[in-house]
Amino acid sequence: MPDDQFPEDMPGQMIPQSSDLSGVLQPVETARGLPNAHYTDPDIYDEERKSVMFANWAGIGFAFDTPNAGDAMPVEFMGMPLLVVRDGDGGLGVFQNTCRHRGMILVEQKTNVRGTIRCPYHSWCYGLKGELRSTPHVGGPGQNLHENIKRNELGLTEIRSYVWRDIIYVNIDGTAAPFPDYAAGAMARMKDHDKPLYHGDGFSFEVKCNWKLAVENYCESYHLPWIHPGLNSYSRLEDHYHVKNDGAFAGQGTKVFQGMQGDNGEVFPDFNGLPEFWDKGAEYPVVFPNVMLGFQRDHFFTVLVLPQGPEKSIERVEIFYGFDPAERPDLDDLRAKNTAQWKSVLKEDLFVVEGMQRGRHAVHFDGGKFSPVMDNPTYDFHHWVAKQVEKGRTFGG
Amino acid sequence: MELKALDETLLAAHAAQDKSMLVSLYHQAGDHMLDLGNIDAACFYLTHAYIFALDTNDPSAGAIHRILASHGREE
Repeated sequence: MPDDQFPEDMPGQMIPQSSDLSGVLQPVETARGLPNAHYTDPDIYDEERKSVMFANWAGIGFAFDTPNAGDAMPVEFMGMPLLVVRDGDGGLGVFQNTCRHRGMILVEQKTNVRGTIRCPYHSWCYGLKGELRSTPHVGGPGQNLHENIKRNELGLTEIRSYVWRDIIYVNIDGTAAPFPDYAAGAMARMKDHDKPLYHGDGFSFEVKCNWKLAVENYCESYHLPWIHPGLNSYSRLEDHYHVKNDGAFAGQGTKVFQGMQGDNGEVFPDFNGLPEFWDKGAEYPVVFPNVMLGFQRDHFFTVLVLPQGPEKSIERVEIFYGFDPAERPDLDDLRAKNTAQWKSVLKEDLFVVEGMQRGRHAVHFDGGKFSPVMDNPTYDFHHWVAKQVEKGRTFGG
Repeated sequence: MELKALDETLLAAHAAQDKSMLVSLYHQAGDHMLDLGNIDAACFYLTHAYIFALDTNDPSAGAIHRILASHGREE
């Protein structure tokens, strides 16, 4: 059918400039999922970058990436150049990775800054807390001062950041509620797990899908018996439940978690002092927009979904324990087994999210239909995204 | 060191990105110009010494800063 024969209200038709979200904002019983354009269209991707990712608290990396004073790590998040810096007092700051002079990228590769962050262009120098320390020749050769160059006004542009469970969250546009308010539901629900975390292992996947599909799939347990049949023997669908919250938080949990055991019966030590619930309980929520979490009694993991374009994402997975792995080499093999198991489980999801991505090019797909019983957390995410986009369209910015 | 020789050594240090050497050489050049009473040239070289000292957390940064500040070239 030639393009000019599409009726105006063709379901799923690409709408490049905007999209109709009224169907997404209905109750779960009658709602439709986000239109195709939210998964394929570069303009909508840019709109979500601003309204969903930059206007909220997005995960960009981990505090353990920069453990030492002076560690500086550039992070490009949806095209936004950021610089994570560990200062001399042990604090972590996130800055725009650009010089206040000519906008040059300051740090190209992860490094340890011995003295100062020096712009490679005209050598303007910044301290680890972002303060402008020197502006060589700014008033002429050998004249490093000028009345119009006020150093106290020209420090690095700081980005709001917050570290929770070693994850670095940023609110790039500066308009979101403070993180403890924004993530109050998640923080309250998971307060049992406020324990020291030790990083164990990590891995990542490059996935050919829009970032939202990874989140949507992770939110619900409906797919588990089909995609992860290995779970059926001990974690049946009826053992799972929705983790639901009115805020930027949803997911699923299980009542029958079994900790991993090594060939010689070795197990990971549990996090200290967890209530009895966690003996068999485990929860897998998402802090919207892009941080997927896994809470178990003996380890914790997180998956950052890092968008690389409308149809490509990176899933960065990091696993943490309640003990220092360096002090328990006897558990190295068990850790490796645990990492391999999660890698295998998460890999099982890849064909699904990539398949849904290709499905979003089907012009008659209308966003899909939610099960009012099984898809609630996924619906919550769609609804939340739609609300953020609508907010952006209403208030601009 | 003669200025020409100093210039060649500086270029070699830049090429090698030997920042500690750059601090030392620019400091020498600045001191030499101070001895000649050429304050602007001295502050040019000392500015470079100072920036590379900041860059490498070289302990001479404080002393160089004091010279530049005394001539109104730094805060």
